[in-house]
Amino acid sequence: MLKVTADIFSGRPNPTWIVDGQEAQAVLRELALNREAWVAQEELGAEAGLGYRGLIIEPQSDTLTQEYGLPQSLRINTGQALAEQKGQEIAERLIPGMLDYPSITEASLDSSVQQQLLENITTPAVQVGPVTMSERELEPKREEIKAEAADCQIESVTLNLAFWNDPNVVTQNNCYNYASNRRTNTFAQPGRACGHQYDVDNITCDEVTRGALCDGARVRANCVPGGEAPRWFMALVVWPGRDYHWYRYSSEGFWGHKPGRTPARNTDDSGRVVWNPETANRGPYTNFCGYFYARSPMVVR
Amino acid sequence: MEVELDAFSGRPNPRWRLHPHQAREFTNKLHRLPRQHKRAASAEQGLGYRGFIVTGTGDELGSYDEVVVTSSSVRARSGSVSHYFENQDRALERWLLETMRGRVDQALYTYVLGSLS
Repeated sequence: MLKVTADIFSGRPNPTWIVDGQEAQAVLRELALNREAWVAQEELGAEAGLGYRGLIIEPQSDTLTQEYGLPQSLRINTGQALAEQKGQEIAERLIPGMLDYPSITEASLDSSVQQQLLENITTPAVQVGPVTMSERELEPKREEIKAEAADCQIESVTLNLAFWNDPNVVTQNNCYNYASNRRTNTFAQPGRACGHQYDVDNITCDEVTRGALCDGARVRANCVPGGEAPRWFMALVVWPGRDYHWYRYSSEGFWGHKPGRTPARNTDDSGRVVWNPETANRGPYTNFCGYFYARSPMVVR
Repeated sequence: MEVELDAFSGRPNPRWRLHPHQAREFTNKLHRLPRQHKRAASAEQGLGYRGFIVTGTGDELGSYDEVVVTSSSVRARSGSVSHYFENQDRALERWLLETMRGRVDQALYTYVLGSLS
């Protein structure tokens, strides 16, 4: 049995209903299989703002939370989960059925509330958590990046932290491994596989670019044919004279990256999701070099 | 005993060996640190300076395999078990930073020094 609360009102009690039976089991299964689709209530920052803020789901017994490995309370469709699309799908499954179940608050479940929720599923009015205005202002840029990438066909996959942050290999793969999506366990260096590694005494955009192109990467303007898919979309930045860093576009719309030997992530040095590597907080990596494609003939080592 | 400056993303981190007297001093400092009972949140996973990693051969580090010194704590790992100590006033980081002098370029030293202030 699940308690579902649509967090939408400010003054009125939120619509809350109970889902039970096979439907409850099916939703729990979906949540357990897609752990990046939701955020535990205790991990969310202060809730703020007006309008639809997602669905709160609370399994109604300890047995259920243990059986499915879920927290007592979680939230989907907040705009904050790593696999937001999946959370949206679960919300789209729950809301149409809300009128079939009894309300457990004073708020009646009527079709106008349901309609309001359905209209808001895709666009939570206010994101929950540490979202700042500057992040919102970046949205147009994010769309622009996607559109430009679409001129050349690319592939993308969702952020797979379990794969990259496996304790057995996490320190053996760096940003170049992550961005090129090649887990070689060699702390790969641009140009090493082709025998022409970048000059360590001259860490510049041009020099690291030269190494990556030698490995088989392509600059953004040079579209890669479908026969060389998967074509991962990468961004290169440089800490002048010291080091370089790469990001890879994820299908969720943000950019993932792996700072050296540390775990892969999708947030910047300010803890904000990287929607745009050009404006993310990159610490000392102040030079933005450009966008690239990895492609199947590319070899890194 | 070897020290690694954990600061780079693409290139391998700079590493250097401690002189025997420095290694002894490090071990003494480590053993004097108070235990950290409430683990601080780890914030050292971004770009740029994250901390120092000290490794030893034989029993140089006592029973520990590795000591990771960051702004929030000193983590001494033995196999899969870690013990946490207070990095009081970031003194151990500052001491390790001084062992960098002359072994990495001055600009990198200055950058880390700025990160510690």
